[in-house]
Amino acid sequence: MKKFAVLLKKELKEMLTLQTLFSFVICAAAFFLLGNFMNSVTETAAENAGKIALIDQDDTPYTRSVIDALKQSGFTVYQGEKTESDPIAFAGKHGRSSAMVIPQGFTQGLMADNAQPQKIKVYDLVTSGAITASLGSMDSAAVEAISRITSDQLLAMQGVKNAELARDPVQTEKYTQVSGHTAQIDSAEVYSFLSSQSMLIPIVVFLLIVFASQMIISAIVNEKNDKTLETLLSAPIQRTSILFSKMIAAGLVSLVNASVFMFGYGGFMNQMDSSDLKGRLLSSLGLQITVPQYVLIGVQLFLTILIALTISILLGSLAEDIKAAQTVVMPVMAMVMIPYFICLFADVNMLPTAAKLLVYAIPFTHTFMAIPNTLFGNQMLFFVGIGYQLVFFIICMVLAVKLFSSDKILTLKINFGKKRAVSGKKRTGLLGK
Amino acid sequence: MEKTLQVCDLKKSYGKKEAVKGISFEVDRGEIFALIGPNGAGKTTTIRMIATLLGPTGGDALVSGNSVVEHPERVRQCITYLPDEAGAYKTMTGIGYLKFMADLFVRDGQKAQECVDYAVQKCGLGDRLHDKIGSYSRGMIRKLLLSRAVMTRPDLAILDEPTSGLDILNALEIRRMIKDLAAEGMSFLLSSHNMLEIEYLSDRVGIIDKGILHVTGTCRELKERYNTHNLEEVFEKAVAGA
Repeated sequence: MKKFAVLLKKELKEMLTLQTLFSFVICAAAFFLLGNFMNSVTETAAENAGKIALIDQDDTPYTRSVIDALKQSGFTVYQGEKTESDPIAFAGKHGRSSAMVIPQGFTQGLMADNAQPQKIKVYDLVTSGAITASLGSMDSAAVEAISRITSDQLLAMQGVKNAELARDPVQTEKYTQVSGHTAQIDSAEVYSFLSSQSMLIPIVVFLLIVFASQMIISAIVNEKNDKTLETLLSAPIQRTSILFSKMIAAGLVSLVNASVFMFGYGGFMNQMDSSDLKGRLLSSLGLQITVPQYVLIGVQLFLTILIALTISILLGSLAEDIKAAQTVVMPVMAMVMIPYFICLFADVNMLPTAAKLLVYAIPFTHTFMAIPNTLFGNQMLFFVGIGYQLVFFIICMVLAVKLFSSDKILTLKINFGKKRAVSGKKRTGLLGK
Repeated sequence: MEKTLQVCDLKKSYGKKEAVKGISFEVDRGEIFALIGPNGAGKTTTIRMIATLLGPTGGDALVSGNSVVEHPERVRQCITYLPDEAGAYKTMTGIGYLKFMADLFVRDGQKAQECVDYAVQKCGLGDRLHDKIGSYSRGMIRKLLLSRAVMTRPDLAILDEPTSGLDILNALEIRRMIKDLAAEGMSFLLSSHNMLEIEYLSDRVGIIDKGILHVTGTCRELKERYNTHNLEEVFEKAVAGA
């Protein structure tokens, strides 16, 4: 036990370096900053939505009354000269990336005997493909407001007393049902909440698995390269102690990493969090993870890391050097990427049976599906997933123990296209080397 | 004479390829025995089997009476192994590395400290032992590793190319260290390409090629037997079956 403790201490010291801790902190900080950034972008977009750059080329008493009504509705209107030829340039002067133009003949077209719907021109400046770039350029609220004001005025002119009723005689009250729970909330908001969960948690899981894999593969390959592994294997210590010390050290470091990530993710979600009312409504739909559920998800995450570590140990034993190690980690990456993308774009549970079984055969799928299965009450699938991962881990662990207990740990290797003559030592003369 | 190592018809195959084809030799207590031969001759495979890193496919080797096949864990109590071109943990200090290895070999804390003190004295690295190994020269690392290999005073120290890549002075220092330790009763099994080193160091040599141990004896015996002036010519005639 003392020797195991000595090995574990050494592995922890090797893995938990200042550089590793620094990268953890950077990742957590990145989540915080991302949350802050998204929050500020959303706030700026909301603020800008009330500001309109407008050019009234029609310039009639009617269009002026519409603009006044717009201002009374709370919009800040930057009005340009009717002769303004470049609407985008005018919008830019007022810090806006879009402008609206009421064209000449707008009033006449509405007031004529054979009145027709009229058009308001909206000019948008596109400077990048980022989602956030489009947030500040939408004038849909202003167009909607103009349309509402115009329609109210037209209805009033035609003697309709209750213009609001005539305009919107039918209103909707939206309800959403999830796993038997019903709440008065728009399903679009529920989708938006769920997609934020299904986008970010898999990224955290993905990063954790990749980090753990690379850490253990590097540890094994470096030991093989420096021949320190040979020294350890010829020392009077249990071979399983060497294996378990590496596994436990990498598992503990990954746990620290997971905690830091989750702390950062929590900060991100707090920054992004919606109103209390929405939170209460989501909670009444059962879309809230309880503390015991969080613990179970944590257990599954740790199991996932252990699986990644055992697979990586098996693969790392095949690699001769760090370059080869980067290649052998690819199957782990593929095993993570496939369920990650499938979970991002489709519901695994809705796939045809054969495809579903195939995807669920990848142990990491269960980790990506843990939160959706928990939120939607698929407890059976969740526990079957944990059971499957446990069996998968035990099989990998048995293989790893067998590998470390035999001389295959030193002799098993893949050359990745290297020619045999090059990889082996050349036969030289007695004095030559 | 008390035998530290007895190798009996030791074989190792990788699939159809026979790397070691049934070799036998013995090493006495306090003796330095060297295996010489070109790369691919089977030296390192033989050494690795005796160090319990590789499992033999035939035959056996006994270290202080313990079989590498039956009781590899007992063999590991009696040996230390220094691989060719081995490194050490770069983030550790020299003294930290010696403590780490001593704790793996010796359970008793007091005895482990004695091992470290012995290694500190043998390696001659002085204050540099408190620096990170990553900052050491190749010669310094080799001295550190050699002192690590002998600090537990094993029955048999197995050294693969003990002075490879070292400059003349460092190599000389290490050879002297091995000689002194053998005089104290420690047995050594070495492999080397350097014939001068072998002549200086070893009590007996074994000439190995293509997995076959052709002949064993002292350097003088072998030179007389093959009527040559040096070990290279002995090797040439021995593998030719003269």
